[in-house]
Amino acid sequence: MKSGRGLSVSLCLNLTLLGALALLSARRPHEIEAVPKPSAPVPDPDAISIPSVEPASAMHNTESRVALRWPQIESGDYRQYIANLRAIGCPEATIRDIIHAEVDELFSRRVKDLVDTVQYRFWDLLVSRQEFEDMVEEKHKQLNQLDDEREILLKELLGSAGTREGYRRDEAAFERETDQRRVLDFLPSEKLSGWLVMDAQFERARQELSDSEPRLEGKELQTRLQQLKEQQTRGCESLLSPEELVEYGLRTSKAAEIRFRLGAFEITETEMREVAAIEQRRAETRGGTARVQPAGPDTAIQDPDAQLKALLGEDRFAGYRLAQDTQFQEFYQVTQRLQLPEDAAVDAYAIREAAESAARAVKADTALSEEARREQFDALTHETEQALVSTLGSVGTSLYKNRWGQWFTAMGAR
Amino acid sequence: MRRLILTFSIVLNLAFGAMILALAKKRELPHMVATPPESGAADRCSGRASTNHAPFVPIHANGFEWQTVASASYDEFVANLHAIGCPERTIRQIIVAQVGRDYARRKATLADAPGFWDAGPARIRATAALEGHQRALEAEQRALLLRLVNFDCLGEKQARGDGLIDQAILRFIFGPLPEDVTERVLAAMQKADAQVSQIERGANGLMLPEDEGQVAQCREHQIAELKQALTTSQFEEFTARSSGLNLMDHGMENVELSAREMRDIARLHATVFEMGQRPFDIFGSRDEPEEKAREFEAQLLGYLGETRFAQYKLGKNPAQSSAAQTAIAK
Repeated sequence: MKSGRGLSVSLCLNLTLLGALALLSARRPHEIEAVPKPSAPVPDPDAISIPSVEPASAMHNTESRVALRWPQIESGDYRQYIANLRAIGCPEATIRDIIHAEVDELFSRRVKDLVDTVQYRFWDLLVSRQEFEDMVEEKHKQLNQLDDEREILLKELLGSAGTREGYRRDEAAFERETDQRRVLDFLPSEKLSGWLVMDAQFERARQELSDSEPRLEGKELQTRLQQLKEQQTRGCESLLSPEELVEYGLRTSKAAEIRFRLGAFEITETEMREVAAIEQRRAETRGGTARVQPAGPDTAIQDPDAQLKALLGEDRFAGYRLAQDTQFQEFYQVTQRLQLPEDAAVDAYAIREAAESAARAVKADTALSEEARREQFDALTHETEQALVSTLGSVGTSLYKNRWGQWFTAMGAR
Repeated sequence: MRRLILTFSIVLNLAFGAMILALAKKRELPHMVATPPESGAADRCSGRASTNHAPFVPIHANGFEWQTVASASYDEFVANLHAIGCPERTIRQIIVAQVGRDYARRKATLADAPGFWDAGPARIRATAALEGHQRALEAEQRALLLRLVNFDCLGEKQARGDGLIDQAILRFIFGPLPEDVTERVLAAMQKADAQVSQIERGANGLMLPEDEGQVAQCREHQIAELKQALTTSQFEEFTARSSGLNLMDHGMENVELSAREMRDIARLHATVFEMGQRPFDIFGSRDEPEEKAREFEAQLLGYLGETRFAQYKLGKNPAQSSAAQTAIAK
């Protein structure tokens, strides 16, 4: 009887183990589960068309299918998680993205915990000013501390590049490089690459100096930064030809910024470059830093305005001057916004000039009584408004007055 | 015979057992090595990286490489991440950052940027074309992320955990809400703010009536989203809290009030000034219309009585409150 029961049990076990063995053998280790399609499409709010991409139905490289699954990579410990990600060759930028987001979520929860302690006392705190202010001060301190903790944790885990400061620096470096590429687009590509590498090296050196521990004192830091700057200038000079150096100097001068302020003034790129060179010489002469004096004994030729007139002609020179007048630019912006003809800005500017001139005359007329003066100012304000409306339209005049119309209302108060 | 069968069966069981163990060991190897040494989830959740500075033993990659998951096609990348069991949340983190980087690069290298010496109308035209393309890329990026990982990147900059203090203030004002609701409310607020600032940027400080109309539309949409995310009582509490903070520096700090009274008054304020129509105006940046202010004060007088109303008036405008002082003295 006993051996009969034993045999039954053993036979059952035989079958169970056989089943288990079959199941284990059937699931080959070098296989991943069926690849799901990308998540269900989400309605596109702006009806933007996206370049179509092939829906993925399987791993790109089927030969490399392995048993490793994300839960094996992910770890409760950030350092282990990072080590695992590195072990599978995950790019550093992606590691930073993942860990950063994890840390942000963690600290978001900690902010919640911090707020939760006072959340239910909102109305009590609102009626007790002192208590409210104390709470704000205390929480402020705690939040700043949390902020520091987050930065320290990120630095420990990912190094300086992974901190928020590191992210900001990366963004700044990216912007800097984009700007440099724009400024230096006249250089051959090898030279440009050389320049960018050198610039990045000096930028890193500047950062290291600023971050050095123990911190350098203000004066010493300034001296060392200045030395770096001089070193970089020498490096640039050795990299560029004299002509390229002149072009670089011109492009990075204040005078080159005029190109942003010419509004509707028609000018070619060649003319613009020449205008900037003349304005740069003007600035250098004023500042006593002129390196190259224009050739020719004729003082008229040396006069920048004369040079500009020679370059642009009398009429266009007047247009060039007007385009840079901030009062004109205000009208110009309104005409641009409302897509009015460019002449409207010129006309509106003339209306303002005439109105201000008339207001000065009224003010200077001592024979007028106070009441008569008031009447004249009122009439002038009314006329000016009518003239502006006929030029810019009522919407344009209203836009203009809301943004820049102080002079308009002040005119009657003169 | 029975004994023989039993012996054979036992031997077979032992053999099967050994085979199962061997197979299981072979299969489980990477998983076992992957288990973190000690600290684990508790450490991570408490925000402490392990203090154990011994180098971590990474998982046995077993021939697995990131390259087999990464793909130039976002769809494929997402699918591959799904395939290895990567959680939605992590996929979102990876894809949002990757797409953000790629689009930033594309925006920075758009070919139609103005030439360095371009000036005048040529520069204006080139800049307008560039901005148009940048906006198109931003819209494309937004739609792409919505489709790939159901993430709306509009307002993402503000949403990033940069300002813990801002986050804390908003949580305090929202009131006690479940975390997923807080996230939805934050997202709705940030998205609308981003849309409004986009309109304002486009207008370059010169807002046309149609721009104002667009802003109003954004706000209406925002309110609808908030009302969808919050229950009626949560929405009322939120608007009352906004009003409460508004009132705090506008005279009410001068009045002796219980917490309940403060809440009643805040609700009254929220009703009269229609805070439900502008829940985004948390600190009351708008000048209130005179008639609304009069209506509020009339109702406030009824609620507080003359003496405490006079205290309120004194706090609100100390310079013009001799009448109020007289009332308090009474």
